Amino acid sequence: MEDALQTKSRRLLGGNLNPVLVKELRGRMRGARAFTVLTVHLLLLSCFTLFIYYAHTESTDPPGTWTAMSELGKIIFASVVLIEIFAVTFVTPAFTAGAICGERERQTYALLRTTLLPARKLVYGKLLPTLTYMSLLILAALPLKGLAFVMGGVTVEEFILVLVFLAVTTLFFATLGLFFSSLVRTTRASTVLSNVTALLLTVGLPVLMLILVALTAPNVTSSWLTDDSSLSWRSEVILACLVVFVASLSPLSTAVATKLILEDNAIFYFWYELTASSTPIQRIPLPSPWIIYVVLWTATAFILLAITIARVRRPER
Amino acid sequence: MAIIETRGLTKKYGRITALNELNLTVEEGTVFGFVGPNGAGKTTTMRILATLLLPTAGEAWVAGYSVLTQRREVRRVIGYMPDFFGVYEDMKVWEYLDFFAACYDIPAETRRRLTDELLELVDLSHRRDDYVDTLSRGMKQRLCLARALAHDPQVLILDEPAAGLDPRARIEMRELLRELQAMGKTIFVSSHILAEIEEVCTHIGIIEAGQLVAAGTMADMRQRLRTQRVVRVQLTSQLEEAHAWLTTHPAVLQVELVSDNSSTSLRAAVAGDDDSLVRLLRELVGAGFPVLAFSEETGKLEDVFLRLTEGIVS
Ligand SMILES: Nc1ncnc2c1ncn2[C@@H]1O[C@H](COP(=O)(O)OP(=O)(O)O)[C@@H](O)[C@H]1O
Ligand SMILES: [Mg+2]
Repeated sequence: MEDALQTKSRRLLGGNLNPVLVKELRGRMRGARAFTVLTVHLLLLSCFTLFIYYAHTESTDPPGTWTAMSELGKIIFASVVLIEIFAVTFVTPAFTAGAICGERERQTYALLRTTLLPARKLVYGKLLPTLTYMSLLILAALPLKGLAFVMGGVTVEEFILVLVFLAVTTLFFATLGLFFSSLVRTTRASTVLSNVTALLLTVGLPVLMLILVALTAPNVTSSWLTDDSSLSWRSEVILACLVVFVASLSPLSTAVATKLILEDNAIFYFWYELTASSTPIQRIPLPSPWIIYVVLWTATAFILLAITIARVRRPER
Repeated sequence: MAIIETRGLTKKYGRITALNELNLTVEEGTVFGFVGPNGAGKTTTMRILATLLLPTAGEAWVAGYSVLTQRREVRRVIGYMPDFFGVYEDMKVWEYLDFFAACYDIPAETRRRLTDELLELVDLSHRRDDYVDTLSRGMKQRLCLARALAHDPQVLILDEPAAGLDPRARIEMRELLRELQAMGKTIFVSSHILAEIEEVCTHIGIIEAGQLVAAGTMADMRQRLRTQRVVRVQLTSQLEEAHAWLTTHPAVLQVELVSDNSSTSLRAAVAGDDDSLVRLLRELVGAGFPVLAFSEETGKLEDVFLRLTEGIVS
């Protein structure tokens, strides 16, 4: 009875807190780096916003009208989100890429792994502080987005969607860095791998898509124009699904595509109008890319996390 | 019951065989010196026992728990200190111990007292509030040992704790090991120089090329070293008969046939001093064997001994 009470009070006092979590949080917040990164991040965002503000007010005539204001709001919102996507994509893995191999390099890994600390706690202890810190970065930029909100042109739905989107992106890239840190021996290799993957996903994939579209589009359009219907309605449905899916892989194309669909006030799904001749259905509903993005990358994040924990748990071969 | 036991323990790194069917037994309460030249497989053995490395074949148990299937139980009973280890630069001495004590599931309210006790034990109380990376190597070594003691383990697995220490720090480490033995802990400690640890050991085991070549109590090993001689006997004929004869001779511990380029001869390990060698030769000739040569050699086993035991025989 007394024991149970003691255990309970100990829990409340934080006696059973994950020691790695406590140590990492303390380490991350103690130094100047956390503060510097936050400051630079906010400064960059603010300068950029200011720049857009002046550039926009210079070019619009007459300035200060409601439409001009809401348009400016939209642009500021979009730019801030864009910068945040890049920040999250490249800063997050930099924080986690050294998680496991850093302990190896510092020769503290064997010490940790022979204690009673479970592999799961070690991995979570590395992941959670990074998520916390990135959340801080995102939250700190909220007022800037709020500015755009006040100026009009941005809806509550968009606001919430962006937060969900950034949260998933952070989670995924944090686990990606963690995964590589358990896969390779050095922090340097792990960082390179994380950044190359991030680059491929954010920039490489959209560019690849554009190239593919450019290559295939002439054929498709010409076949439509000559009306010989080489593209059956079934292939068109498959093609449309494929395009939406591929667009949902990259954070950048997901953001852009979701934005385009939002213009039509469609949040969760949109109607795709079939153009193929002799089709029995006129249009099909397709999910908004952000939904696929959220489901896909959250699932991937948990799979990567599970693999990482399994790798840490297993003794070396 | 043996507190550490390995059976047919084998570890291969690609083509390299680091451990070759190692059979090792360490009794509870002993200080077992695990001695062998660099690359003999000491670290590999210890990493397997510490559940950090999987063997290619064979099994090992610590306090009856399998290092393959009961890793958590093994971790609960061992304190492991690797040959090379790092510290967290941004931590103070007490924070370092507190962190590892927490990793050993020790509740927050008892950690403070425990940390102070451990610092007292390893004689670092005066450095409690200093940053870990300002400590000397000897101090870091003791701090790392204190860390491995946080959960009061039965068995300590210490990989070359004396390496790289100056004589003074080495003496301090030795005193510490004595104290730990007095506390009833079994200590499994490695070194590539026997002289470094022989004074604290109750037992030693000698490993070379992944195999245990000799093991026993310290007194036993000293005796064997002092009294065991290896002689090479060359005969013009009757090799087999001489082999059989030697095998049954009371002073002969071991006999083997060795053949080099042209000839085959016998190598015998003989217990005793010069006189017993003289006696053996006389008896051998007396029995009618055509002895061509009878010479003492520094054989493989003894070679290892001599290399390792500089300092034992004065
Ligand atoms: N990770 C590894 N990869 C390849 N070979 C290794 C590895 N670790 C050890 N070895 C080899 O295994 C043998 C035994 O090494 P080790 O156990 O470190 O010996 P000791 O600790 O007795 O000096 C050596 O030949 C060494 O080169
Ligand atoms: Mg070694």
